[in-house]
Amino acid sequence: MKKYMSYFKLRFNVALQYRASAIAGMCTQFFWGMMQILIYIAFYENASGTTISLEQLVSYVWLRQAFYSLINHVTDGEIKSSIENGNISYEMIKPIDLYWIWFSKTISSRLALALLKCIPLLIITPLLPAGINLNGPVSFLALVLFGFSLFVGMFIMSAIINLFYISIFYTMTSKGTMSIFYGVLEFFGGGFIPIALMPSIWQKICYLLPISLATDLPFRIYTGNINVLDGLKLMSFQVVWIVVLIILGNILLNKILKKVVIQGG
Amino acid sequence: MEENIITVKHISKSFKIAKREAGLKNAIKSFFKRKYQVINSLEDINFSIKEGEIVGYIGPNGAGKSTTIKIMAGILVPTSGECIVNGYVPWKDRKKYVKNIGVVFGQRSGLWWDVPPIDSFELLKDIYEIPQAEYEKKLSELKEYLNLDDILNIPTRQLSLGQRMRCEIASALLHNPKVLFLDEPTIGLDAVSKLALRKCIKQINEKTKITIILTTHDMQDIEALTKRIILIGKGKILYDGSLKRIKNKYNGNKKINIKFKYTNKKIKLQNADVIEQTEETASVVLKNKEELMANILNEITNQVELVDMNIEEMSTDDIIAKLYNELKI
Repeated sequence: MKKYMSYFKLRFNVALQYRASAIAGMCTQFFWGMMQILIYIAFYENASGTTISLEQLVSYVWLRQAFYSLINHVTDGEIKSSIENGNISYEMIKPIDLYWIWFSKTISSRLALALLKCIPLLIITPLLPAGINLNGPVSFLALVLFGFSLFVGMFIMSAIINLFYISIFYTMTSKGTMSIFYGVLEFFGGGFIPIALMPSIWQKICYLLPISLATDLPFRIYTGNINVLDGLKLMSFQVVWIVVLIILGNILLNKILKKVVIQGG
Repeated sequence: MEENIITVKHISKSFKIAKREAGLKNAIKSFFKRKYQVINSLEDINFSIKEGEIVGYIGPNGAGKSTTIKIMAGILVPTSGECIVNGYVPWKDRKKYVKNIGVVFGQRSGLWWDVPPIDSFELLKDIYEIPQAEYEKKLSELKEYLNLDDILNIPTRQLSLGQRMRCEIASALLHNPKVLFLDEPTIGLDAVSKLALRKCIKQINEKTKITIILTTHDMQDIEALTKRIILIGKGKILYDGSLKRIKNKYNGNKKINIKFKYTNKKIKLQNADVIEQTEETASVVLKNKEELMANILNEITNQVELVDMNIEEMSTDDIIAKLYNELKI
């Protein structure tokens, strides 16, 4: 366990080094959130029958932007290229499990980035004028569940991304799979349209998959759009999914590692 | 008599490679139907290495050197054959096995790019579960051998190749491995760095009795470091023995460098080997010492219009080139 914590720490330090990128990322998140909110305001002027109120939606957008790094689809360029160019051999000659090394690397860079970005956003956005500001949680319990589900959601996302890394062993290049992968994650995770605004059949489909449990559920629990009871039920699905994804990833990785060929020099 | 630490028996490895003719038409065709070709990268490789030995593993590009190293390092599973290193089968029980080996791939980097090497070392300490006291002792030892004092705290990306390579070697030795695989450690280094690195490797071997397997294209590496070489070509072992024996065989052999007027014709000689030929120059090595220089020059002047020439002793590089030539690899 200690070795994986060390990877975690070192990766965390490396991620914290890149301040300029964090600041740029934060600005992007801020303006992107602002733009989305303005679009939704215009949209809500003529809308009826939505299952999420504008107020909830605004908070949803801000939170999602603030914690974007934890649950987004972004993959680690270093891990990707190490598989593509064979540097992975240096990990394979160490007494470690690749799966958990990737896991701790992914989680630590996510936490580091989120830490840099979320604090300023969480300070600024509640102070914005009413109507476009981040509101408090619907209840204290909702806040606690939000924290838990976001945390587990981050693990789910990392396990999904691990599956993507494993796929590179099969395809040799990440380019094609990456586009499909991003599209699927964004769509079913509510990245293009929040899941609460989708037709109800699509909402159901999205919640059959693990993606929305990471990218959508926590924020809807916070805003009260999903009540505590439903939230708890969905959180139990989170636990099931994380176990399934980790087992699947380990099986696939061990299978391919027996056949893998490191090419060149 | 020391024990064999590495035993390789009948190792073979074949790869299936997708093959495609040139051109767009074939590219589209291969999109639907792929043709595969099986390439035997290694065929029936056998050798054993004793504890504390330094062995040079040489051969031309594509001979199978790296494949062998990868099999011994446990990251490649051979198609057939047995291999036991330090009591383990490398590709089984990988996690236990790799605790006792160190590997440096000269063309890759195992250090973290963004942080100083010392941070990478600290990480390795935890990965290999090295006790603090042992780690500190080993680190100060390596600092001395490899001259690391001034460079450990500079981010890896800002180190020169020579400095980085010294750190790479240190990182492979921190956990006190019994076997060290060096895959082209001097590639791309300048003359001074090469000399320094060789000295370090030699010193480490003498002090710690670590077994070292070294692949390289630099014959001076081999001469400086090893007594025994294993020569591999086209996936087969062609020679296993002392470098000295090969050198003695050709010792005193002369090499003739000739310059001639432009020609496409290949020079063919009865009593000498052409080890290199361009359109205007060639290097020729006498087949044996007793050969009469006059005969050979005569042969040459019959085939090309000689412009200039010089005669020199064969270097190790020439000997190896001649060997590759003789063995047709």
